Amino acid sequence: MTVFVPKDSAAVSVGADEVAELLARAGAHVVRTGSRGMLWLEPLVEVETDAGRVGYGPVAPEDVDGLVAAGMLDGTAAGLGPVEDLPWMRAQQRLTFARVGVVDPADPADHERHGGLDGLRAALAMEPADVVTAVTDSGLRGRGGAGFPTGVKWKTVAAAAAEEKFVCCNADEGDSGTFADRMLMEGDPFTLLTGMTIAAYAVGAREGYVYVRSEYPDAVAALRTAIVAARERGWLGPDVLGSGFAFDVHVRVGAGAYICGEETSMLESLEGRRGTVRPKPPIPALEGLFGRPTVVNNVLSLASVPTILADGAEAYASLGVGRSRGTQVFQLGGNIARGGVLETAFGISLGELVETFGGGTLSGRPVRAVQVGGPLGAYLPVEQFDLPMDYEAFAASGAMVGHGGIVVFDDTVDMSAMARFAMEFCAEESCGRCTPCRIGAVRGVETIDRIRAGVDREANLMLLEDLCELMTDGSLCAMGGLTPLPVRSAVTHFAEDFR
Amino acid sequence: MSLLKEPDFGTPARAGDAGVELTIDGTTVAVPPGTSVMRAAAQAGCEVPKLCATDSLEAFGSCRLCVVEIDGARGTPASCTTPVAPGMVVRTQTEKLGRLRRGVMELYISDHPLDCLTCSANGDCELQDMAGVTGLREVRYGSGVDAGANHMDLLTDTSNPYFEFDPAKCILCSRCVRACDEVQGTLALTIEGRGFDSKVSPGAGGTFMESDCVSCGACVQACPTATLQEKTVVELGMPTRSVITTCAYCGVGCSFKAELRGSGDSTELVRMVPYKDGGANEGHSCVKGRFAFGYASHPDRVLTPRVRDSIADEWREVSWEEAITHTARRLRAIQAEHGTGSIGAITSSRCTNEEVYVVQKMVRAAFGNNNVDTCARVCHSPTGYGLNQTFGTSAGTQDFASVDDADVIMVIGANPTDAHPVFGSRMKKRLRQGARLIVADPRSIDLVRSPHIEAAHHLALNPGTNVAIVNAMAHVVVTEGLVDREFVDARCENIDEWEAFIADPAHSPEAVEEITGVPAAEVRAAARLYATAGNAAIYYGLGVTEHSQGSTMVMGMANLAMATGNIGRSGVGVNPLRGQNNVQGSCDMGSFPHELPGYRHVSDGSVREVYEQLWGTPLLDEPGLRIPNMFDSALDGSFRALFVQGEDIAQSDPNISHVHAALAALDLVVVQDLFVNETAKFAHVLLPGTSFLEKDGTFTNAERRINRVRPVMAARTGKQEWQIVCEIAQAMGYPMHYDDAAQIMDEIALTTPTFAGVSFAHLDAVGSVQWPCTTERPEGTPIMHVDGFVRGKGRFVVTPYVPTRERSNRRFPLILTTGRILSQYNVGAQTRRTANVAWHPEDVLELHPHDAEVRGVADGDRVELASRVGTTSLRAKISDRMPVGVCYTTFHHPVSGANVVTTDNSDWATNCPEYKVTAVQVTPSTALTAAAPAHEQTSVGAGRG
Amino acid sequence: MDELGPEVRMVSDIVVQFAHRPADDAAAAIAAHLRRFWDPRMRRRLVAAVDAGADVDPVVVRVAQLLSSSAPAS
Repeated sequence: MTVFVPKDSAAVSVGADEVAELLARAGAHVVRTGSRGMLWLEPLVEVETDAGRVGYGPVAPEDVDGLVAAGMLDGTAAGLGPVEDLPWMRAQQRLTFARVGVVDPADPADHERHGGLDGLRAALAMEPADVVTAVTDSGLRGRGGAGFPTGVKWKTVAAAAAEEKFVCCNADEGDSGTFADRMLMEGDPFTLLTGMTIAAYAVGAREGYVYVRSEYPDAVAALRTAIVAARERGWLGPDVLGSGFAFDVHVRVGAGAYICGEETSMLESLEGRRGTVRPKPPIPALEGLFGRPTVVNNVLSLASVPTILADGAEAYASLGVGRSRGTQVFQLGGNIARGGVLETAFGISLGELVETFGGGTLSGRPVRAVQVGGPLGAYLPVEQFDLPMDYEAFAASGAMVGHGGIVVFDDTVDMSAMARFAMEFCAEESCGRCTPCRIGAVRGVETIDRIRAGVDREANLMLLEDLCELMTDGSLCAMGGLTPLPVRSAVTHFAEDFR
Repeated sequence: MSLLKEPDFGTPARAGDAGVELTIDGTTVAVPPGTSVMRAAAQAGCEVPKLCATDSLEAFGSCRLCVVEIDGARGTPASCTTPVAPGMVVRTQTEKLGRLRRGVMELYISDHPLDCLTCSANGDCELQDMAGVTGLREVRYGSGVDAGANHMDLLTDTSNPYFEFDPAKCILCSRCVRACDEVQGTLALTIEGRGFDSKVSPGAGGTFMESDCVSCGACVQACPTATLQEKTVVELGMPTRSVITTCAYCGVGCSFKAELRGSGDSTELVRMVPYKDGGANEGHSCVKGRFAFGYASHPDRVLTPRVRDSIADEWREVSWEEAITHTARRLRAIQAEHGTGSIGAITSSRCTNEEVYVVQKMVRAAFGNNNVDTCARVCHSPTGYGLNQTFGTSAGTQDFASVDDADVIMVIGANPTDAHPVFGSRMKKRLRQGARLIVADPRSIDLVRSPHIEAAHHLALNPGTNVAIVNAMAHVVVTEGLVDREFVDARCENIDEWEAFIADPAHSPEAVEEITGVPAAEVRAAARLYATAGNAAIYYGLGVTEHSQGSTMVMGMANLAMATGNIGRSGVGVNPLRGQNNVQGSCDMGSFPHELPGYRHVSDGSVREVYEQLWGTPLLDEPGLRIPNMFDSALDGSFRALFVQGEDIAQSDPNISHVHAALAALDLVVVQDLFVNETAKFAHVLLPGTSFLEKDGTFTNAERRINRVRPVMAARTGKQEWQIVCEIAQAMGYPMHYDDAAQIMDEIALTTPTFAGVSFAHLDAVGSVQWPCTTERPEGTPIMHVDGFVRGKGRFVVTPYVPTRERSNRRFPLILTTGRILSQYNVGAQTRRTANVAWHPEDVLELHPHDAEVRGVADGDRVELASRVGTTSLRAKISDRMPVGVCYTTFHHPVSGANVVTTDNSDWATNCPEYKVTAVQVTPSTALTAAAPAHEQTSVGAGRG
Repeated sequence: MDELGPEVRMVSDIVVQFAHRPADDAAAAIAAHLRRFWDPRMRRRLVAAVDAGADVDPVVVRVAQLLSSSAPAS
């Protein structure tokens, strides 16, 4: 009988490897998969039954013997029941993450069996320009945080006349509270490769790079394994799926700088230089890697492309609200009862995510603040829990959806300390090229310290606001430009912490 | 003139028509596509505040002072990195922008010392200026004990002799780093660390002197604050006025602003700053021109004339009048006794055109003979001969800017990064942009491999085999059908004879591989690249001319360029890199014994007539003696007196013992120089000369550009050099007078068709011109032979390869070749009297590790260097730049006496000495042995080699 | 060779450059070159050396003949 044990590093960190080994010793045929995203249940063991996969979790290594004895390997032991029927799973619309936690990420046949190549096949049957149109029509926007329409970017690259073009995947997932890129790369790397291949076909690139942060060794290994397998199967290489189209992908590992998640810094780093921000223009779509037209997209953007091509732009665009179409992968973290990854259509409210999916705080105390969109995202109070997940609605509230990371704090949090942390993070991670970020972040920490110490509070709050305006409007890139978001939102929504 | 501050448009100009129209603060302006909003604004008269932008560097977008508002654009983009677009509406001054800019300045000043009043950049600090412009009135981030984190405790690096680096004042604009990368191309500087910890660092964290820094000064010039500051400014204070003048070092001819304090006698030169409008250098400089001017005020300067009867006597200081009368009397007396042709003069390529012109005029009109030659004899005389034979002019074909259009650059026997550094940087910039490079040189010069540059082909040929290599390349062009038939048929002659000659299999790369030591395949590939990759340009130096086949090689290169159609447009050409500041000019001015000014032979009656009319005296129609012939004739007694203008022939000329014997045999040697040089030891009259800071005149650089040399201070000797010469002529009974140097140029223009449009007034108006400059073409001629060759049709000349008689043998198994180093200049008379000795305290002998090992020589050992004519002692440097069997030295220090060993072999056509090939032996030595001639050479007049 | 004086050495250097041309042709070209670039006293010393029976290339002998027979520089 076949059991599925995640190999995702989150599951491994709580003992999944030992569990897998014990199950194998107990005679099970163990398949290692990605994670379903219900991290509070990890290690989550799934057993194949006629009624589908039934789940057990969390399974500690010491639980294995007892569960096996109780009939776990037949699916008869008491457990979570069919995984697909769990409320957390049923409430989602898993498109990008459809195969994550289901398939063996190292097995291309498994990927193909689960429809993984449908999108690429569909794309190769179309004219490149039509692929661009499909992506445009789907309404897909950059999932890295900026929310720029992916189809528009591709169209720019496709229209640029150049002998050489590139597709670069930004997998330098450095935002605190985000891990969806990692889980996709570890759990379904072929989907990312397929998405990149479709992008390359659409714009006329022949070479692609995935820039992965060094903190993700398992994702790097999973990608490298998948690339070798994809080349062997002709999914990558000189003749992709017999279409005559040539494309190959290389993995590059970063060196631990947050700023390399900024697209132009990433390009500098890919070229072998110090990771500092490049001014735009020129935009990477016209002068990107090695000065050539380059698609730079986040992992989730590229991984969403195969489903769009497989099921059609309309199907994807039918989900979501306003100008935020399709699904977003949310990551719940911080002080939360049920943390993990879930994928659902735009429009879901912040409160639903935190309360319904997340189950409130882990500490059991009331939620006080939620930071959405990484360390540069705004802090939102509970009063804004009805805010729908929508790029425009968030922007209007001085916040951002970003990469979909949601970090929850209970009522013990000191928001002036959180504001200080935002500045400190910026000072720590600034590349140092532009003045507002290089000096401003350091002065921001010092100014908040004075406010917290009660020194000239009103004057220093005014100075902090001036500094925030300067960093927002004057910084060279989003690093310095967005740092004021958490700071200002903390001051605005939690003013009492600054008095 | 007050202190000249050149306008800074913030970002570089873009080529093309001003086709993009936009509105800035209500003013409409049109600029070429690709221009930045910042530059367009500056052109519209709306200067946007800036700190990290300067128009010698590409936009960087880091300071964020230059933010603007653009209709329809999000936020407040930086104007330096935002290109213009048609119809764009830009506002540079709004309440919001003002607030942002003040905010940026507030941050800067929160990490900057507040010692403006005592800062060396006080009054010349862009940070200070911007604090004013933005209206910064307070820094709210705390100061003194309340100061936040800062860099004000960082220590100053004073390791460079000329400038200091005070990181406490650094604003991290990266202008220095970018100048080092983009302008100089050395890439010595970097930003170390990240964020607030970022700092400018030379190399891997050491000092400037420990780094790869070549002290070109580009970083100092780019620095907007006192962080990188000339030590002279720190010591003396800010200059108050500027004089635009021309550098007196190499043939690049850089324009500088001499920045001064005081006036009249109290004039002090504070610094030399490269001039952005300088046609040759466009704002760049090297360590020599930028910093090494201290020799002009060195205590060794001779300021009073000296006379003595015999070279064994002590010098006697005399008045100008006595010195001049004495000189004239002795010259006339010698002529009376030994004949009109018994005296002569050597002009200097260091002096101005006007100074040179009067010397040759003195020889031809007052001496009544043609015994005038110039030090170009020993460097570029084959260029004059070879290019004249083939193209019809004795000059390079291009302007320096032409290299920007080259697709293939072939460097032959030249080392531009050391000897012509400012042009070298321009060439490197083009190479970094992707032009391909062929280097033909025995030595692996820096260009062969340096940051972001690698030669496609390094033809490491055996010294003395240039002609074999260029013939082999031409053979490939002819036999592989790569000749540009259309060009050759329309514009050249004698192609058939030449093609028949060059197609002979004896010239194939395979046939000459044994001779040249260069693999045939490499030569073929280089020839194909040169012939087929678009615009191909040849740049060459003394490694071409200073050979017994120097003239042949010049013609060989001209043949190759003509055969491939690489003449007559930008990006191509045959370009001599001239050694000295005015080699081109001194040749133009009629310094050769066979030519009147403008390269017109003395036998041409119609030309002579022009001068005879004007000068009022008949001129001789026979060529006179060249420098080596003067020495030979001194030894045979027919030549008795020599006037030497600013040249140290007793150090710089080959086979020194022969030169010394010749000088000792003369009845009268008159030396006009700044210092008591080696030649002065043989002199009877020493006439103190003026430094370039005191001269009024013109220099002509390697691209035929005539630049003004303006007096920065009065002549410290009390007389201009041209005045001295005129007064000697007068005292000899020939009337010769000019009111000023401008009058001399007027006479040159009047008598020389190629200079007809030149005058000081014209040069002052337009900056500089490249000859031919006629009244019809007052703008001059940057590129020659555009519509046709000067001689009508370009002439192919058959160029047989004749090996030098200098061969290595069992006794002298190595070949010595010579060259220059960046920090020193020629015989070092100037640079040795500056802090440049910090980089090159002595000449060294570079030796391949194998050659060193078999001789038991270790790096840094003293070795004896012997040739068949002499022996000297040097310190050895083991270097894999050298091929096996070849060693190399420089000739900057008289004590090393490189020319003790060089022979009197010379170019067949011009007698240019063969400095570049001497058979030598190297042996370890323990003590410093003084340079000495070989034993058979010790008696004067004995048979030579 | 230098015992014969520098002029003989220098002209010999020139002669090899013209070795590819017929002797009379070469001699004429060399004589023209010397008239153009050499001081008359050097030409005289060359002619004297050849007249004194110096052991030189036949072309040099021909050059010396041309130099002593014709008028100075053209």
